[in-house]
Amino acid sequence: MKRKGALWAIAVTLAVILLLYLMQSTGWQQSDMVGAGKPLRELAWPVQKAVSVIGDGLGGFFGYFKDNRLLRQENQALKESLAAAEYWIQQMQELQEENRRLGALLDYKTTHSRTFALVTAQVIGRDTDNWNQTVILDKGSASGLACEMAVIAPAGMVGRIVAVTPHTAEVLLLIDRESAIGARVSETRFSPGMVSGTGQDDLLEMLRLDHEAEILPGQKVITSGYGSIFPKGLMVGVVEEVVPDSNGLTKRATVRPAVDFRRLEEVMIIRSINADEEPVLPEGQEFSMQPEGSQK
Amino acid sequence: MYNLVLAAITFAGLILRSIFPRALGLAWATPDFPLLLVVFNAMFRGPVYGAVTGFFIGLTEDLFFGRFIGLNALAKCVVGFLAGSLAKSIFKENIWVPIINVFAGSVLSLILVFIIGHLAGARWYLANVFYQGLFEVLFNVCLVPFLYGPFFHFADSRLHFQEES
Repeated sequence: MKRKGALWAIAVTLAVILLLYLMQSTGWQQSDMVGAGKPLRELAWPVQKAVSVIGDGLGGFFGYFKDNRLLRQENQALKESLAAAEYWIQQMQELQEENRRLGALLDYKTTHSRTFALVTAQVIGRDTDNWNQTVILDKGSASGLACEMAVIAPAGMVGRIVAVTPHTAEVLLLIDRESAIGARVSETRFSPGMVSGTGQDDLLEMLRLDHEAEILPGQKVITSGYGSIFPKGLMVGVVEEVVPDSNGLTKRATVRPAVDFRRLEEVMIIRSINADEEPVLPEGQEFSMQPEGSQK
Repeated sequence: MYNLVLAAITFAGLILRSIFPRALGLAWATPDFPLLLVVFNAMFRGPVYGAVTGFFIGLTEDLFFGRFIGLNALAKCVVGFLAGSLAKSIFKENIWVPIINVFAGSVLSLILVFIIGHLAGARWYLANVFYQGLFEVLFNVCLVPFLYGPFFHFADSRLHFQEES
């Protein structure tokens, strides 16, 4: 019995020593797995892969709920951030646009400071009914404005003041049917008479023109200076179409206004005329049908 | 048949052990499924069978991971022997018996692996082993209530059948 026990002890000790040797020889000093490990791992590989795929699927399924909550929070934060960024971009664009318009006004004012005494004003309201085409300015009699003063923009004629309060002024726009202005064709110096509004934002008309009148589409129409309100030489618009009247004796012309009345934001009021000098468009500036100020 | 099922469970346990860290993503600690099997088996079959089964299960584990062959074989052999010795005269139906056995076996296994590994030239940091070992022991103990029942019924029926035949 003792012998058997001793044999067991020896066997176990030898086994332990053998195992320790085996462990040492298969430690990290070895650059690869031991031979027997490779087939075993290869055998397990498909199962490992399958279980891993299933595990990933389950993880993805449960992760969806967690991710969904996080994504919604992130989405909300991004929306807020985007809204703030959009607001600032809009503000920047507004300022840029305002800067451009004011720059055009300043240029015009500087160019014509010897000819006119100008007051700059901002459009703060517009008549919303269909009967009148008027706008309200943020300056009035306190700034030296009075009725019948001419209102202009860098692109051309806007209208005339028809009512003032200390801090506001109402301007009857050129496009109003009640508005009429003495005009002439810039190229031919032909003075056919009056240009009046049609009630539409983008159309003026010249009525009862002589059948033989020298007027053609594309010609510039400027103020004639007849009457005491508007100085001569201010841009009114461009002749768009000339049509004979049904009586065969006269014809009419439609004029596209130089000013874009839908985008009117800043204007200048001619408070007084310093010299009898015909204002002209700034050098190199061509008339275009773009919104006012954008032709700069 | 019993040993064949044990081999299959061991293999499944090893696969589970290899994919567990990625699935759980916790501390790189995994439940030691083979150890649970060694302890459960030893409780039913006694110290000698426990030691032999532990040795072979450990050896399979070593071969599976391909490093330090014999390390787990030796450690699980000792655990199997002790678990079999302790549980020989204890009432196995009580759930606290396998829980305590697994807890003691897990701690012992860690200590043995650490010491024998160092003897074999492994350079493990005690802090890492302690940190991961803590989770491993916790996992093992937590799994006992879920795995011991099925194993009990399987082992009881199979061993009873073997004894009868």
